[in-house]
Formats: sequence, structure tokens, C-alpha cells
Amino acid sequence: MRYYLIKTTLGFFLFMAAFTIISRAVFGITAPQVRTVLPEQKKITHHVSSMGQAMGKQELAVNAPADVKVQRVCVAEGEPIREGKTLFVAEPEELSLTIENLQQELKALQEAGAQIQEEPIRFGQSGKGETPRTESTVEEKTLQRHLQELRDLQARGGRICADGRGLITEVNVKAGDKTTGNGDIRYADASQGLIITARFNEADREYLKKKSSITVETESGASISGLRIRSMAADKEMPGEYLVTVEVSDKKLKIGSMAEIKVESGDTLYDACIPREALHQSEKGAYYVYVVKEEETLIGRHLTAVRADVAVSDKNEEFAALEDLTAEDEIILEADRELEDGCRIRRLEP
Amino acid sequence: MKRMKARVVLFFLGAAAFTLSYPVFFLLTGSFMGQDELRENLQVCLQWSGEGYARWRLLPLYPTLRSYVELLMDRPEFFTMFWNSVKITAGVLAGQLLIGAPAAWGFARYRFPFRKSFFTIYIIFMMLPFQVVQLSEYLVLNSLHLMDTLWAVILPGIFSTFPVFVLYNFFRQVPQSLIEAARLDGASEWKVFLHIGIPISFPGITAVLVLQFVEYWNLLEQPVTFFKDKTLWPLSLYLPEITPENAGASLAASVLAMMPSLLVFFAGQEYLEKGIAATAIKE
Repeated sequence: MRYYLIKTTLGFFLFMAAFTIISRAVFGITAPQVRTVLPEQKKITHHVSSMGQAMGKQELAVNAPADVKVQRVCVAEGEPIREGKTLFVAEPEELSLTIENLQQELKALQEAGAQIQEEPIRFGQSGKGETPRTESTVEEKTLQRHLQELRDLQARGGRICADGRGLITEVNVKAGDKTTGNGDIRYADASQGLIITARFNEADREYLKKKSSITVETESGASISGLRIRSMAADKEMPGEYLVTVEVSDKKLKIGSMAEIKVESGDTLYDACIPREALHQSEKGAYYVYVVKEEETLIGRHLTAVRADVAVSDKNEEFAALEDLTAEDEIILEADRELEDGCRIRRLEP
Repeated sequence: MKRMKARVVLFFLGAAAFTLSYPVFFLLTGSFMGQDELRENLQVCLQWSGEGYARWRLLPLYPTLRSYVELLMDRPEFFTMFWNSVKITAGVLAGQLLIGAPAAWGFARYRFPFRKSFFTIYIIFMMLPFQVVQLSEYLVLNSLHLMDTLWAVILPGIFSTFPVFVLYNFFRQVPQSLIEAARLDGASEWKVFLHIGIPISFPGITAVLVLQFVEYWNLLEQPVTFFKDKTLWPLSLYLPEITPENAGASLAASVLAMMPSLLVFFAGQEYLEKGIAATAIKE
């Protein structure tokens, strides 16, 4: 019996020795493996962007003589144009008829004017105000000018052409209608440089400053940097949104083309910045990080992940600037499994 | 009437035996209980969550080995402490065999000046509790730069007076004629001790080892006083805080911690009784 007990005692110690090794192995396998990072000095920059269309800095109107019947309109709104581009064409027969009518009207006016010259007493006794002859002369000159315009138009084959390059912004004439002579076609003039206006939302507002560095990226992928915001105003049509205008050289961008306005702001240097992956947020919205601590425990010194609540000074998509951290605080960047406060960890060498 | 009296005595003895052994039943049954069952039974006393009493079942409702698996697989610190206890106990027992046994032989078999006075001082030292000598021990160990080493517990244990006292009584019972016969045959004093004293007093030596094993396996005050480094702590300091979450593992740890003491005790029970009887012999 005694030998059996001695054997059992020895067996018990062997059992404990075996599980000592097994538990160490299990500990090594189950401890989360982590990669760490040290906080570094950094500027937190913010990037916001929005699409906008390149437009001319000023808008010009193209007018044809009034009361000319339009045969066809050659442009549409949003269409880029070059100098000499035909905008619309007048009906030739109607144009000839109008010219003929005007000629007859002018002739009649001139004959009437001649009669008035022969009978000055009959029409000019008072000596005050405009005499009928003077009125007739003004009307005659107006008719002559209008007639000349029509003749010029007829000489050009009835074509109304653009006198500069730009982008059609408004077409106020239709085929079959008569011109009004009051801004039949309007276009944005590209010759004086371009502007891009893009809409930003309320969340982006804090990053839109006069000093913000602007980069415009064109549809073709070309990038124009070093720009500044020209103007910024609340959008009256869409409350909570802002219209931001940036001036661009017309050599680098085509009028009417779409371009992305990229705004970069933030020039404050923060002492403790960490990658965003290392920053966690609780259900209540509080930010925290896991800091690596060396702990003296029963099985020796080992590393643990300690949760530390932090205040975020600033952050962007990549980095977050934190308060209450020093450059020596080793922050857990990523782990191969979920971490808990105080859990043992194994640090992977970078 | 006599039978009735015997039954009453048996009943009371049985009740006392059950009461005394109940903590062991408590440990055994608790170590096989699931976490939910333990939480349900113990939450009143472990969480101070209001009024009521802790409940207990003699047998687990759903027996499980989960607590043992958790302890054996997920608690490497348990094994660190277990082997610390083994190192301390083995070191002390080996030292006592090397130092205490010859000292006891000297007191028992030789006549020298102030022998009785020295032995009285030994007995007085045996009576002193640790609290009385801890400061002087601390100062000596600190000056020897032994603090925060296992030797801080092992060395005072090696020079414990208790094994000298017990073995002294065993060695005194070795017949003088046998020793003289050996000397006449040319045996040296060392050979007399090794070949006559040790074999004849083997039961006493075993009893001392069993008693001292239990004593040093359950050592509590010395490690707390002399070990700042937790990696040196013995198993007796395991589980400083029992929560509903670790209650199962705590009970399983207690069962495993109890096992070596039980095995050593049962293996040396026969000699232990003799050893205890020997301590009662008046010089």
C-alpha cells in the first residue's frame, strides 16, 4: 500500500510537470499577437473634396438684330464654343423681306422728312422742344442702323457667330421664333480665366479656409495645385451647404469640364499622433487606446494590453492627435484577435 | 443500555467527523460544479449582493471537469507557484536531513559541556512563533542579500529546531551496546551514525519529513515577508481573490494543492504516528 502511494505521489508530480509544459504552450498560443507603434510628432491635415464644373469668369451675351426669324439654332446650353462658331442662323427669305420692308419704310420716312423741310412754319412755330424734323431724323438714323445690321447679317449668310471662346450658358432663341435683340445667346467667357464652383457640406465647413491649400484634379487626371479659395458662401438653394469658388488658369482646364476641388487644411503640429487603426471608440462614444505595459506577474515579466481613455485633439482619415500620451507610450496598432483590458499579449517584431 | 450508549457516542463522533471533513467535501464537489451553478450558490457571499445565505449541494447538479481544464490549461501561474512550493519544501527537507539529523545525533549520543543548556535553548527556539523572529530573520537575510530569493525561506527552514527535537528522541533509543559493538569492530563515528543511527531511526526520520513537508508545503507568512518578487510565491499564496468567475478554478486549485500533502501523509502515516509519539517522550 505504501509503495502504491509513493508511486501515486510520483505520478502526480509527473502529471503536474506535463501540464506545466502544456499550459505554457497554451499560453503562448492563446495570447494575442500585436503590432505596436510609438506616438510621433505630426501635422494632422484634412482633405475634403467635391466636384464642380469649370466656368468662365464673366458671362457675355450674343445678340442678333431684333425681329429676325431664326431658321436654326446650332448650340445648346453647356456646349463649349470657340470664336467664330455659328450660334444660330437667320431665315434668309424672311431676312430679305425684312430688309426690303425696312428699305421702303426708310424711303417713306426720308420723303416725309423732305416735305417737312419745305414747310418749316407749319411745323416749327413754337420754337420749344423737338421739331417733327428732328424726330424724323432720329427715327431715320435708327432705321438706317437696323437696316445696316440686317444687311451685315445677310452678308454673313444669316449666321450669328461667337466672338470669343467659352461655354454656352443660356439659349433664349428657338428655331422659328424671332430674335429679341436682348441676349439671345449667353455664354461664359473663357478668355479671362476660369472658375470652378463646387458644393461642400456642413461637416467640411471647418476645413474650408482662405489659407487652405487647394488642388484641382481634372477629368484627365491632371493636377493643378497651389490654388486658393476665391469665395465661399452659403448656398441659398440648399441650406447647410456651401458654394466654394476657385480660380484656375484656362490653359490647364477646359471650360465646361468637370474637376474635383481638393481642399487640404491643418498646419498645427501635434506631439502625439497615432494611426487611426490604433484608436478605438466605445459604445458611449469615448475614445481609448490599448497601451503596452510590462507587468510583473506570477509567471514572470510579461506584456499586457491596458486600456487608456484618451482625448482626441484632432484626427483625419489616417492619424489622430491625442492628449495625455507621451512619446514613450507604446500603442497597440493591431492584434490578431480581440483585446481586453489587462489581457496578456505577445509583441510581434516590426 | 451499553449498545444505546455506543450508538449515541458513534452518532456524535460521526457528526464531528463530518463537520471536520466538510471543507474537503466542499472543495471536491465545488471543483466539479459548473460556473453557473457556482455563481448561483456563492454569489451572495462573493459579490456581497444583498441579503441571504450561500447555498451548497453535496453533489453537483451538472458535474463538469471544466474548472480543472481551465486551471491546467489556462493558468500557467498555478504551475509556477506549484513548483516554487516543491523547490522550497524539497530544499528545506534535504537541508534538514543534512543538518538536523547529525545535530540531533550529537545531542542524543555525545556528552559535552552545556549540552542540556543548548538543548533547552533549542526547545525554546522551537516554541517561538515566526512573528517573534521575523524581524531578526529579515535583518540577517537582508544583510546576506538573500531577500527575494528562495534561500530566504529555505535556509531558516533547514536550521529549524523541530526536526532536531524529534530525531533526538529517536536517536536516544538506539541501544548504547550496539554503538559500542560497532566501535569495537572499528567503525568510525560517522559510520556508526550512517549505518546504525539512521537505519534504526528511519521511522523517526520519515515522520519528521512528513510533518515538515506539510509544514513547508503550506508555508504562508515567510513568503509574504521575504518575497517581494511574485514569481517566487509558493502555492499557498495562490488565489488572493476569489470571484464568481474564478471560483471553479480556485476550488480545483485547492484540491490539487491538497493532493501532495494527502499523498505524503498517507504514505508516511505509520511513521508519523511514531514520530508524534516520540515527541511526547520526556527526556
